[in-house]
Amino acid sequence: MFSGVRWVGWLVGLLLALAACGAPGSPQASPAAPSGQPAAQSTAVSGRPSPSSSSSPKTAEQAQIFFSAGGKLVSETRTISGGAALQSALEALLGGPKDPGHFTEIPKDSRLLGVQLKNGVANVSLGKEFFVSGGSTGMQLRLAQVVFTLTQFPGVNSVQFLQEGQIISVAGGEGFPIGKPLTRQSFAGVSS
Amino acid sequence: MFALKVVLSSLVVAGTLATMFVANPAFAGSSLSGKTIVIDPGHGGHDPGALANGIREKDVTLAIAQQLQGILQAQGARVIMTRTTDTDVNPGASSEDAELQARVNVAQSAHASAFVSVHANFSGDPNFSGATTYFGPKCGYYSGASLSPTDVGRGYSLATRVQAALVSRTHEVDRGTPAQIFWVLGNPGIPSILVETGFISNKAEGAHLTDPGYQHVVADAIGDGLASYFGSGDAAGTPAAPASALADCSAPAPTNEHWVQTFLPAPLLSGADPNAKPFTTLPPFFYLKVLGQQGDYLFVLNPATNGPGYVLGSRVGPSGPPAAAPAQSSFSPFWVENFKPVELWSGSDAKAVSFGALPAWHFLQVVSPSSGPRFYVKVDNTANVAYVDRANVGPSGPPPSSPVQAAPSQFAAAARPVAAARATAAPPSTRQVKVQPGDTLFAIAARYKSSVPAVMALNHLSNSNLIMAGQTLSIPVAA
Repeated sequence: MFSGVRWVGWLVGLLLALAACGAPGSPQASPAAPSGQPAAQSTAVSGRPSPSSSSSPKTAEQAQIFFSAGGKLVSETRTISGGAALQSALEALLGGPKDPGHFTEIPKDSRLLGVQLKNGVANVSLGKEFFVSGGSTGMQLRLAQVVFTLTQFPGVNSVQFLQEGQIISVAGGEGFPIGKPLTRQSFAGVSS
Repeated sequence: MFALKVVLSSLVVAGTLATMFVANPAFAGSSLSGKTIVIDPGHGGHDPGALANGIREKDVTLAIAQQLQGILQAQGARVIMTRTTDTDVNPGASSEDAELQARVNVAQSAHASAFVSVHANFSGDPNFSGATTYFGPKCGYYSGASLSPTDVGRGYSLATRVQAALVSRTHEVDRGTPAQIFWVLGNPGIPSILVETGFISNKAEGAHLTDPGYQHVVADAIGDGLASYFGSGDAAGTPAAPASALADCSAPAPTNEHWVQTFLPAPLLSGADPNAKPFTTLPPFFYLKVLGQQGDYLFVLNPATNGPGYVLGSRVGPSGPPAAAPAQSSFSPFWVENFKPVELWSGSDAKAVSFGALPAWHFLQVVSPSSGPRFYVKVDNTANVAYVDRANVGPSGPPPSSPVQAAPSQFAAAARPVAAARATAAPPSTRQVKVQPGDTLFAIAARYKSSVPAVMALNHLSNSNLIMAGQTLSIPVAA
């Protein structure tokens, strides 16, 4: 068998070669992310953002973090930690937008208690404050911000919200159902 | 501007009341006369609703609902309020769904003619404003409620009429009438809407919504919408609804199982770090069930051994579960033979991967219906199943030795090329071959002029990717 160092080196080479060939099923190697502040680039949502692989053997990568403006989702490109991409992306999301024209529907001081990927479902546990009522538009956008941010990563098909570790049937007094995993299709009204 | 609006609103109030009591003392002219209408002021009690600009949503919704109550009663309607004070509708409820279902239950037990839930909206974007009226689509409610097409059509008709009146009277931005699976809209048999009267997060709109004069205009507009609905044929008819609101909900259920396939040889590792030891190296196109992710590694279950391990995420691609026989109904299996070499595919679509080639003239039993370009077949009487291109096979009967009466040795016979099988029903001669490191089943089969399915059948292998160096295989000798 390969020694550790040789094996990793060989893999990196292979990955780059594959990315160049566009081999089916191979994740694209992310461009090396610049250190420091993320680009202030913002894009309106148009389908799935270009995949930025969570399985790339880099320590940092770029991801789209989703916010709200004019009743729709908008995104900002951020540099996140590649080793714990989901956690890192959610932390960037809870940190709020950088663009003054962007807003967040996530209540201030919302606590991220954990995120775990299981069978293609990202299980996100948040504190009670995340689930308070917030208007039907704000509530759909709030949930969509999380779902769109997480489902950009390969292997994440849907998101199950957990309130302090427990599945609850609806978010807030508007009664938006969150008892089952949500996909991007759950938010057709606010994503286009 | 704002002051003027208030004055105008008050004039409207006075005008409306005067007209009603003078012209229609017995409410005879109103389509609302005799109708039972349930008004649901959104939130309340423990749930303040949205909070913005010093406004609590639950106060705005109650104030508008109470004005609406008066307006509808004045036109002869029987009005039932889900709440009349700042309280929970179901104070003992341990969860939000029980609180919301209590509101639905009020309408159901009253056999209401319509249900109107009054809300005020919120967005983190303080510039965003406007009115929205939601109606309920056919399905998707977490309560399990299901609406008939008539329910959906009537809800849509009511929503469009209320929304039109609201926008016309308030000059708010029209945010439309979307279908949405809010809990209270899962109200079978009762046309139900949820009216977002405006954004309290928008300073100007919030100021309007806390003003009693403006609240009355909003309530009056909702009343106009209700009167228009009951005055139309829709209330007793089967009005049309957008197709999207009538679509079935079963399709987009997220999959619980997540599978990947190796597209290169992939070490199955003991841990999620570069120093982990490989248990084995999996061949390409090997199915793995994903149990979790740890950094760059996927935690997987090897379905062949049911043993867990880690693979580098970059060695695998997305996949469905391993090919399994689609559900059989009233389908009778039939036989075909490939008149030219065919690829054995893992699936029926473009994403399928090839298991390898099968030489010409094999009996293939089509074991499930398929309308696509590939047949789902059992190969050579073995347990092996795969898809083959329909264009490369022709009709055939069962193999010469019937599978029902076949002794185990004759299974092997049927696995040989058709010409040989037809020549003799006797068991073929075989030779024993020891698997060398680096060997694949395909290479071994090719070396001895046999086929992968034939070798698999003779050795009772269920997975062509699983052979071990040092293992001895029986190989059929070509006649």
